[in-house]
Amino acid sequence: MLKSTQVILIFILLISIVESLSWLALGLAANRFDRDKPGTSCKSLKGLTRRQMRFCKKNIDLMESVRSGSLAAHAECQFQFHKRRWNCTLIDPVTHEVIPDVFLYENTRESAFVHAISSAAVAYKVTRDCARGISERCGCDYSKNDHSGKSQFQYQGCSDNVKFGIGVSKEFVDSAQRRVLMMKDDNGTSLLGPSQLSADGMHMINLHNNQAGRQVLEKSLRRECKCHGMSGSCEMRTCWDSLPNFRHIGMAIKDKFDGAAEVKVVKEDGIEKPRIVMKNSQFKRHTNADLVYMTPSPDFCESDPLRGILGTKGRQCTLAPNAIDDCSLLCCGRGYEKKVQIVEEKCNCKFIYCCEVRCEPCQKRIEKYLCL
Amino acid sequence: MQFFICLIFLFVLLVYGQYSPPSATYSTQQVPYNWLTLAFVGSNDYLPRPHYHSTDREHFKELCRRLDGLNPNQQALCAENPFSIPFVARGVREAIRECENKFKFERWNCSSRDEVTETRHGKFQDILGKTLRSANKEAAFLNAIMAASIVHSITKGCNTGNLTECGCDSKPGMQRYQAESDPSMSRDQFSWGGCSDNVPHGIRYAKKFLDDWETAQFDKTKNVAHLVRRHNNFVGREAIAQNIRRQCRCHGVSGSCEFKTCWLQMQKFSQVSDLLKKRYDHFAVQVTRKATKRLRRKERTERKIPLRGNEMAYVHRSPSYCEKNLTAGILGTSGRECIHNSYSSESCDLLCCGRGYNTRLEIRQTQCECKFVWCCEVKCKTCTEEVAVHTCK
Repeated sequence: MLKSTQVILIFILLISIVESLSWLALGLAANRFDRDKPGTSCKSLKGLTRRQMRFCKKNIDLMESVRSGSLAAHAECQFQFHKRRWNCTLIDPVTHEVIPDVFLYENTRESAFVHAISSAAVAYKVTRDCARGISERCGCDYSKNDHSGKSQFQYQGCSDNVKFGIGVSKEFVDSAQRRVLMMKDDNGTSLLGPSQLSADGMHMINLHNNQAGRQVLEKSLRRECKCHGMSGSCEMRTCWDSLPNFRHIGMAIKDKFDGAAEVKVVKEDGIEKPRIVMKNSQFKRHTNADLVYMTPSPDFCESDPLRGILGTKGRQCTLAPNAIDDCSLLCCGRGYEKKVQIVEEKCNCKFIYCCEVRCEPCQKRIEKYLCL
Repeated sequence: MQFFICLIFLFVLLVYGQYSPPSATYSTQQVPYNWLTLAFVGSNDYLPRPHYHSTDREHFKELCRRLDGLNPNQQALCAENPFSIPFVARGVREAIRECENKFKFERWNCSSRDEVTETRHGKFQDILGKTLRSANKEAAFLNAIMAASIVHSITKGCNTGNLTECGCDSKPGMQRYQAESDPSMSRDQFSWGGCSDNVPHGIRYAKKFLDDWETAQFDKTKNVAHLVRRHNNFVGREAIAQNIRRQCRCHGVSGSCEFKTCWLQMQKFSQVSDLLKKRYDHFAVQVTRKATKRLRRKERTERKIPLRGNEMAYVHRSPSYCEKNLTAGILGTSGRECIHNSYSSESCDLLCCGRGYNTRLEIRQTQCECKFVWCCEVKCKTCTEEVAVHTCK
């Protein structure tokens, strides 16, 4: 009896875990959000959990920002990984749904990255849209302006309202993690099987990584000032905090991905909440802004459709040793083939008076290397 | 019937005759030819004392036979010039040290998992053997730097008078050299004097020590790897021969340059290895797998262009050196120290091949706030600082 419930439980958990990223396909939803009809607008969206659906209906005005956040997250992930064995293939281009990459739900390093970048991206886009005045509910953040600066007159600029963005991200992205069903037996004590603990742990890890992404965002706030004293002197100035380009945040999170810590989740007696601890205690403990993972990643060399791994066959590589997309590394030692393409280009262009530009057609040889 | 038995007997004799007695060739059958093991030859284990059996060639022969890893040509050369071997050994050590320096922050850091075999003469470590015998770029660099190191240390030996068969170059004008950078100096009349580095002798020695065997083996097996090795040896020798400089000293009245004495000098070995590293990085050419007489470039459009003396040759593309592969002798980059926030090859991202890194906190003690105390002492405080050390996963 117990066994069969466990099997069902695992099944439910698997489905729920798979959903933890499926909202990322939101960016490809074609229809616009109709603020007057939140119900129908939200229902047409794919991949939202019940809590996210509730969020959508309540905050339809923020959904445009959330959608652009999911787009930015996907684009940034693809940019950061385009030269690597796993090139961040998340969304099926035909069905516009998130590919159920199983390894992404096993708390690998890659999954940590995707969680962090997506929660950071939603917070980023909501914050930016606030500063632009798109949403009525949020504006500039004036709380951070201090008047103890060096100059006499300091005016408050419009600081990016990161707090609001982070709050929205917390609400929306973290709701993608379903609450774990707590099974209680007749005496009221919780039944924590190994699978239950691991599922609990998986959610903890995902939430940690979501939070880490937002922390990176918060730390990347930079103070910018504009001086408007006499002939540009800084007697008077306006200062505000602003977020850098999203590429910077992507780089910072990619950096966290490289230094991610392998952890395990331990449940100690007497303490209700399990804890995340380092697997190897000799290494430096992770901070709140560091990514963590539990399962070592596969090598991504051979395709494994069941686990959502495409393999590196047919990928383009370069012949630079020590590079990350070096053919011998990217092709996993299988070798590569050279493809020569002849491309027609315009060259020797001349300006002829008046007003014409004449070019000659040229043939250019392009060499490409593809993994076997 | 008797005739038949006789025939079988003869046959058995013939077969046995093919093999020499196993005890005599024990070491040569067991270990591959790898003369880099000379790196372990200290002056203590190998001492061809001139006063002891000085005329006895057999004694030198025996000494040389104990050096496992030398091929028959090198054995003969050793017996002929026994005193040169410690210089070759010194050269190998210097070359390995330079190689490790130059490749410190690359995926291949001039190390490999070396097999150790027990021979009659002690332990034989096949230093960098697997890399050396493959025909990839790293092997090309190794061959070139080893050849250069022989030229360098033999020449130094001649110059310092430690080798009896050679001395300073008596005809320095016959060598290729570069005059001083200052053009006003080079126009003046000068006479050769001092002790010029006898690079031609070093080159002759290195050729004999390395090339003769490869030539003979290529004639026998037609394996292109021998030609490639011979070419890379040439690249190494050229790296020294192309960079001989003329040094001069003026001794006219009150130091004027009316009278000038000049001599030739090689570059420092670290500069030579810098040059070879550049050639490894930018001037390595892939050649075809088959060759009848000379090496040909793999690139079809450039087949007719002969290989130059500054171009290293290799046949096979190198492995990535990322993952451990003990059969190929590759250690992998796991556990290597990397540098965070860098974009060159020592960065954690590139060195760890995308696998990520671990961070460890190390407490290091350094001397700080040093002060000079009259007279004459320097007093320092010891500071402890916590350093984050990143190592590849």
